[in-house]
Amino acid sequence: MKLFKNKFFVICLCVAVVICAVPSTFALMGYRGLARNIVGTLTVPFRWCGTVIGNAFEGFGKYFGSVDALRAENEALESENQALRDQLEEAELMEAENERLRQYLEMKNQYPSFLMEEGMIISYSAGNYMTSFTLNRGSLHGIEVNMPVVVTEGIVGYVTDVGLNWCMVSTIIETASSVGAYIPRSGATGIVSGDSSLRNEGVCKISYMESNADIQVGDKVMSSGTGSVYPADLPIGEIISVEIDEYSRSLVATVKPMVDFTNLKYMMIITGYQN
Amino acid sequence: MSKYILGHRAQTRTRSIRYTLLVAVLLILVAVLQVTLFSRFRLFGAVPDLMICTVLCLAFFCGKYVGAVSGIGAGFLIEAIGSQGITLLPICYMLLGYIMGHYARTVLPRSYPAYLPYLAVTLVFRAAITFLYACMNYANINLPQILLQSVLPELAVTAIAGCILYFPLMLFCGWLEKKIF
Repeated sequence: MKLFKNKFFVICLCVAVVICAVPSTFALMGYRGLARNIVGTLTVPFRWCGTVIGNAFEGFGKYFGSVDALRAENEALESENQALRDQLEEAELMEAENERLRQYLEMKNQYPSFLMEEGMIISYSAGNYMTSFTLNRGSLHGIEVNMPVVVTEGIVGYVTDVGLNWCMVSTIIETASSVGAYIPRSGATGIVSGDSSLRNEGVCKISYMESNADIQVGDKVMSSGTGSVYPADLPIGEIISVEIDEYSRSLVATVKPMVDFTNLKYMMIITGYQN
Repeated sequence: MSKYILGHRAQTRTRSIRYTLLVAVLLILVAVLQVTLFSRFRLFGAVPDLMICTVLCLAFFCGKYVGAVSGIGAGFLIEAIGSQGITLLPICYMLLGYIMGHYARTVLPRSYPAYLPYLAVTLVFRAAITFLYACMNYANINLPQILLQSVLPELAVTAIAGCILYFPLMLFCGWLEKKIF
């Protein structure tokens, strides 16, 4: 025990014993030691600093400790947001459908004899300009060849081919199409038909009009009901230019259809009507 | 000649005072850290005994005299700041600092692998102190409960603190020796 036979060790031990004994005795007697009070007072600024740093670390730790909870909350909010977006999208679709059906209802009120079946375009023709469509309605829905197809703006075309649950619609700007038409302002009549040179511009022509017919640029063109396809008084388009046919000496005008064929989605097939 | 001797003694005394003051500042900082910062973030539900690790490191790097004196100071500080009742820590820490400082200088070189056995002994010592304090404070002694709730968690966090504190205190002691001597 040479280690402990040391003057320094003995002094240290004595000091330590005194330091332990005095505060302990005072503590057991119920008095707070003077030295403890002094040290406690002197270290207050340090302890205050430590507490401030501790608070900062605690806040830092809490921030990162709450990341999982925030992530879970974020996921819940994202899913809720997605559900709300779906609802909104559905509501917008329903609103658009409602608007479309309201327009058809107005059309139905305007033409009470029309029996109509709504069809949606499921494919377009492969050509550069969309002049024929395939709809999702066929013979199962009572669709037949040569039935007229319309939208609220006017005539689209007619049914050229029918399957069980599909039908093909050819527009009025197709070369094979012809619609009996008249100018409401003057009563002049003619035939609206497609033209291969005009088709790519999305317009058609009205021909077989009297050379002295009263026809001007901007005149509305309506269906006359002649022929067996289209009912009367449906809007077809508007005159954008008038010329005289050099061969037949009759007037030929270019008609811009009321319908924008590039933005069609839904259309009505008139399955029955009375002129 | 006598003038030279007197000057040398005064210089040595000044150095010793500066040395003691710096060690005291270190002990105060560590004590404050222990009772404010680390007493909040209870890893494994316990507060690490940074003071005992500091005393061990000071003894390990600076020898038994510094170890013993810093042990008394550390025990006194931590009892004065953070606890009430019967005080035993100054004696315990002084013994630890003295013994560890003695063997650190005579038995093994000062390296991290050499430090770890000392840390292990210190941890056992700390566990014994905790057990002793628990026996003094609890009316009914439940050994497994004291072990699981007090001794082992404190042992684990103090071990981690001791492993980490070695490096800053090694730098501090190196800087201290360079600055003072």
